[in-house]
Amino acid sequence: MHGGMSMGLGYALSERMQYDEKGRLLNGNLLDYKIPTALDHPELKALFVETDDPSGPFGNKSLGEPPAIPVAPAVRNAVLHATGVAVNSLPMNPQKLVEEFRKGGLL
Amino acid sequence: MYDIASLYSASCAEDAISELARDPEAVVIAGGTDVLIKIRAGELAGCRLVSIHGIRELEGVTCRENGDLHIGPLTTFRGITQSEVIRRCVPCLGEAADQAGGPQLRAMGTIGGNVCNGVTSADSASTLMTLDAIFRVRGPDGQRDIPISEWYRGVGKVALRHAELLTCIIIPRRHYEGFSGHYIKYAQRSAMDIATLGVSCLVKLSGDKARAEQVRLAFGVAGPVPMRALTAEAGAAGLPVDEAIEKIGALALADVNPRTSWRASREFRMQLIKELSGRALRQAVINGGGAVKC
Repeated sequence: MHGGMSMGLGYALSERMQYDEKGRLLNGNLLDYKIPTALDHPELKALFVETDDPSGPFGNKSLGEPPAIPVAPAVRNAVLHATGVAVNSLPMNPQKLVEEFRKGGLL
Repeated sequence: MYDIASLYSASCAEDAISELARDPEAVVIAGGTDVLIKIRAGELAGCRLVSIHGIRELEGVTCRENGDLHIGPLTTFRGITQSEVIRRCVPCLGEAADQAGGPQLRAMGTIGGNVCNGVTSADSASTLMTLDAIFRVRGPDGQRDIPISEWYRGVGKVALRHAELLTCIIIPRRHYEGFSGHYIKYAQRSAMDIATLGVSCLVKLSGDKARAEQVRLAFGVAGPVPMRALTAEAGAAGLPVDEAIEKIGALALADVNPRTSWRASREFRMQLIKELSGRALRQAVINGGGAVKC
C-alpha cells in the first residue's frame, strides 16, 4: 500500500520525462528523474475496507494499482482547497505551482 | 565500465605535483564523486589519473594559534560536518556540507573537490563565498594564495593551473568571528539531489542583537558560478533585523542572473532568490541569538 502511495506521490509531485527539441530524453537517470526519497514522504496511512469481490478468486480484490491511482487527484484537490488554484497538469512541482499561483494572483 | 588509461597513486602533495607536471593531460582524482561520473559519462574517457586520495597532509581541519581555520582539501563532507573546529567556529559550513548528495557521497566527496570542480551548485561553495575563504595552491613554481572572489572563472573553470594542487582552504578569524550563518539548499527533493538554488547568509549582529550590523549573502545556481550579492549586503547592513529580513530578498534580485535550463526556469529561480534570502538571514539571526518578529 505504502509503495503504491509513494509511486502516486512521485507521479503527483515530481516525476516527469523531459525531452529536448529533437526528442532526446534529458533526464534518463535516477538523479534527474525525481523519484521521491524517504525524506520526501509524509507519514503514510492506509486503512482497509474488507469486501467480498465475487469477480475475483476466493472473493479477493487486487491491490497493486489502486493505491497509486487516487494520489495525484487527491493532492490536486487538496491544493485547490488550500489555495483556490486548480492545477490541471502533472507533476505539480514547485515551479509549476509558482507559475499557477502567479496566474491565480496569489504571488 | 570506467575507461581509465592509467592511475598514479601519489604518496604526498609534492609527488602529485611533480607527476602532474610530467603529464600535462593528467587529471587529479580525490574522492572521485565528480571525476568517476565524468569518466563513466564519457566526458573524461580514457584519461590518466593522478590520485591524491589518502594523502594525510591534505586532510583535516585545524584552528591555528591566530584563530584562522585551515581546512585540508581532502577533508570529506562528512569530515567537515563532524569536525569539532567547524562545529565551534563555522557551524553553518558543516551544515552546508551535510546537504550534499547522500551519506555515501558525503563519506567520499571532498570539500577541495567540491570547489575545484568549479560548478555553481556546489553545496559548500556559497558558504565559503560568505566566509571570503582563501585558497592556498601549490605548484611546480611554488605557492600562492587566491581569494575565493578570484577563484571561479566560468562554468567548471577555476583559477587553478595544471600541476597546481589546492593544499589548504583558509578562513581567516576576522571573516567568521562574531558571525552566525545559515545555508539553505533548495532542491527538487530532500536528498540525492543537486541544488536548484543554494543560499548562504552570514550576519554579524549589533551588541543588543537588534540590528544586522554586517550581512554577507551568496548564492549557488544564481549564475554560472557561485556569487556574492553585494547590493543586497550593502542594503541590509545596519538595518533592524526584521527590516533587513524583509528587504534583502528584493535587493538580491539586482545581484543575480540565473538562467532557464530544463531543470528550472529563470523566473522560478528568481522567486526562490527573493524568498529564500530572507529565510536564510532570518535563521542566521536566530542562530546568532537574535529575536525575530516574523
